[in-house]
Amino acid sequence: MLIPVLIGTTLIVYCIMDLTPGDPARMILAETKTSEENIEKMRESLGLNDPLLVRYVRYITNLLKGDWGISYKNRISVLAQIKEKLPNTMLLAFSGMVVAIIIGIPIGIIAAKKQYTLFDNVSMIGALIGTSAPAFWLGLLLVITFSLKLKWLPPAGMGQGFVMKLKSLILPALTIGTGTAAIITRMTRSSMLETMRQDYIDTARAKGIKESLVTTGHMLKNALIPIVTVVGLQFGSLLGGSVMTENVFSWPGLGRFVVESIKTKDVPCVLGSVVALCILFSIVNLCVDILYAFVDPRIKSQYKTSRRKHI
Amino acid sequence: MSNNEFVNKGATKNSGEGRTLWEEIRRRFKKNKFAVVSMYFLIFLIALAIVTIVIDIVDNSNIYNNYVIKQNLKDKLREPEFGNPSMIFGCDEFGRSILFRMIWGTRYSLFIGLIAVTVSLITGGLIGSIAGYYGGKIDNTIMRFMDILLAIPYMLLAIAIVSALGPSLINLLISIAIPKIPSYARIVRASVMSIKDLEFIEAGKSAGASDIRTIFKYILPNAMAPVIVQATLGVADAIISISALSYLGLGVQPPLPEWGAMLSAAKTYIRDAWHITVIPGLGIMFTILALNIFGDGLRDALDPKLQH
Amino acid sequence: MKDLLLIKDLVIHFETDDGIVEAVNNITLGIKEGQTLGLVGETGAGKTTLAKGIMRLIHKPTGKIKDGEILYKDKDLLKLTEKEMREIRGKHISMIFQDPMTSLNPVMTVGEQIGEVIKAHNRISKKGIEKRTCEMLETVGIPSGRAIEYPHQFSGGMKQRVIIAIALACEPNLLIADEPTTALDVTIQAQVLEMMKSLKTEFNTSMLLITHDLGVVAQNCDFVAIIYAGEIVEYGELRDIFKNPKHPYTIGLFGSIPNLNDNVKRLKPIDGLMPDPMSLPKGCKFNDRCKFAMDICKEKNPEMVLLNNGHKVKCFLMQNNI
Repeated sequence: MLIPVLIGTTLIVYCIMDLTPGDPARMILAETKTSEENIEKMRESLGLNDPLLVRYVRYITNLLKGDWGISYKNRISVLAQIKEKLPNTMLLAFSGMVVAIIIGIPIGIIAAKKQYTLFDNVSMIGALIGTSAPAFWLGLLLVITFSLKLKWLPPAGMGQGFVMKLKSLILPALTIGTGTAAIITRMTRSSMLETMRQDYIDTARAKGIKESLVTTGHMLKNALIPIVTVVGLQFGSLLGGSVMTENVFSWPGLGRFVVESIKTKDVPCVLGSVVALCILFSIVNLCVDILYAFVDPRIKSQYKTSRRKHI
Repeated sequence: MSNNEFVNKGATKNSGEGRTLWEEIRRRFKKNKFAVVSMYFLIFLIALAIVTIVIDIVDNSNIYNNYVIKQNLKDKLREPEFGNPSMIFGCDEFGRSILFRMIWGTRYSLFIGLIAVTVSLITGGLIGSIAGYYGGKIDNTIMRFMDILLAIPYMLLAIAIVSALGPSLINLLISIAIPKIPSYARIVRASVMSIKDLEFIEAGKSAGASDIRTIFKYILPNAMAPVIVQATLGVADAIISISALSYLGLGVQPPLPEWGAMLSAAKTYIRDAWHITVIPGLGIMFTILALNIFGDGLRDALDPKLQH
Repeated sequence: MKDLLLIKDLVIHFETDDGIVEAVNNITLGIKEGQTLGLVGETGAGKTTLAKGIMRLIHKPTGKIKDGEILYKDKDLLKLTEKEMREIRGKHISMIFQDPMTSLNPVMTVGEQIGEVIKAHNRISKKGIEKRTCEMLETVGIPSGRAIEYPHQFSGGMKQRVIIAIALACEPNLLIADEPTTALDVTIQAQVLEMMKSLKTEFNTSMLLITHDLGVVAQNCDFVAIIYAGEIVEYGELRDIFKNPKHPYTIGLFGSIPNLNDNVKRLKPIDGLMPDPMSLPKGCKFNDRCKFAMDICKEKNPEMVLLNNGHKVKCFLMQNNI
């Protein structure tokens, strides 16, 4: 399943980037004033005159060998730059997800248990604002409040040293995580409400067990199943959101790298970054599918029976 | 049988008193006061956008050139003054009245958003109908392709397209419309698949209706409800994407007064001028808020079986 | 014989946006030690609400117990704290719910679900809990090796047996069974009821068996109470009710059962519908469907009249001794 999707996504991205106007050979030789002949020779040697699919296959083969191309702008290997920046983006996306889960799930649970109260109404309004306010704008507001007015946290960059890095991670993580937190809150609440109405909750209470056990063992265990799906699906939007957040906070990640490369028309860098992020996204989706099987025993037993059939 | 067999009994009293379907939907929608207010707010914004277009045609873009575009560096970063109507939101980094820019900017967010969603909807709807109706191999290939499109994070795909084609209004539209096509395709396909085997379709076919006629006349009207809700929320998504791309400099180009583009200066002047950051952002936020509330209200009105 | 559970003048309402649902209206009912009371009524009569009321599992915030007492071993359950009530549930009084397909937690093994109730009321080791769980499974006829399986791996009848195992694991004094076999096939129905009967004898458990099936009542109950629109309209020993039904509704119920021996062309249902619990009529709740309705029936609600042998009927006809 993973391989065809990866092939498909890289093919689509490659085709889109191929539409970019501009002649790579010309760009590479831009500094030197050579003749048209030499430019044409360069094109031949780079294989630029071959049909699209041939070039695509060549690109993928090189990719697998570790050759991701060279930046038009500064001649540094694309892969090297990606290796440097990808971990930062992953750190940001991961922190954002942690923030979203820590905020979203508890509030969603309490809102469901205290349905119709002030807490419920306020949290739902908060969630609504969280999905309505553009993330990058929230980021700017956070910078104004916490970096400029209160001077508690740095406004930009990643900083040196563990403490500094942690401090500079807070605002970007909050920014990127807010949208997802809002979605998780609403999802948790509605999933809990759905679960709370089930007959087996009555059975559980009729046993005379503590209410906290009813909430964790019976309600949550079931309510979390659709939430895991949402968390997984949201990871994609987090990766996309990293583009905006990294820009606001000048975070040295792949998202900012993509935008800068676009502005300088540095196609190999754009292509490489987008491919890297797509691969990351597909791997995360696969992990979520596997996680799902562990969380819901009905799915786990489906896997088990289908394996038994093959024996 | 769950807890409240008694509660459900009461619910049957109010409905089914000889109303048409549309009247039922309107009645349920009106119950949600927030949704109604949001709807009026959105109508107000659309009216504002139309008025600005009319003004531009009538006075030959006079106001546009003098108030929205023209730079008055002596008014640079002027703070909001409540006394002076045109200065109520202050001025931007080029001394232009933010109020005027916000008003003239409504058209970009709203109309590009609406058009983009319409394009996604129609394309996705057609693809989904074909996939759902014919099933089998056609369905499989089409949906595989949709899955692959969905495997690319939305923003990334939009950025890739805009980067390849270059920043212009049309390219912006294409770049935010294409990634959403799979969502609409899926919804329409699901609706089509659930309806196509119902008996009244069989009846139509046996009376001689062709495939296309069957799809358009019988199947699509019944698939409308979930699509409409998705579309409303889709406009909200589109507006956020437009403002995000414009903020990055990849969308609406200066000096056009798109709200997201107005925010891109905010970062540079963030220390000196809070109003450049706060005000256009509030505009975006309230528009999206209105769309979300309206969309939720629409969803509840169209399908009351979904309880909160 | 002493009453194990005595319900006195219980009133339960649901306060909804559309109106107040008067689900249970002044019910007085007793369940004797070691005996099975069958509670018979149509859907919506208030049987489940009454049962949940005893367990104090009424759905909040709309559901409210407005008035009355529920005396268990002379203690009013309605006055207990939530903590004290938890000690009653599962240990002294257990309940089985209507639909076995949805009454078990899908993501917990059946062994864990049985073990939970044991753990809640006993201070024994993990091994002890496991042992007791396996014992209960064997008792209800399920191989103890299946304790590690999940509910979806069991059939409907076996699920119901697991639920019975959970209910009886702590040897309660009273078991409330809300239509335990309605959702099952007739053959499985017989098996399950047989098993419940033998368990009841073994542990001397009292039972409140809620059902709308008179056949089930005939085979399993010692006493019968007929419930209509949230009120008990007739009560008595099994023989008395079946041989000598007095309330027009009860008579109508028995009359509507088709008899294999008669050559009948049409069923004889009771005309009309039960009144809407949100707008109950003044006077006797059955009067608009009653063949014997008198003027007084429309105005006043009859009191319970005690006939011989503990047979009680709530009808003005009895007062005139017709």
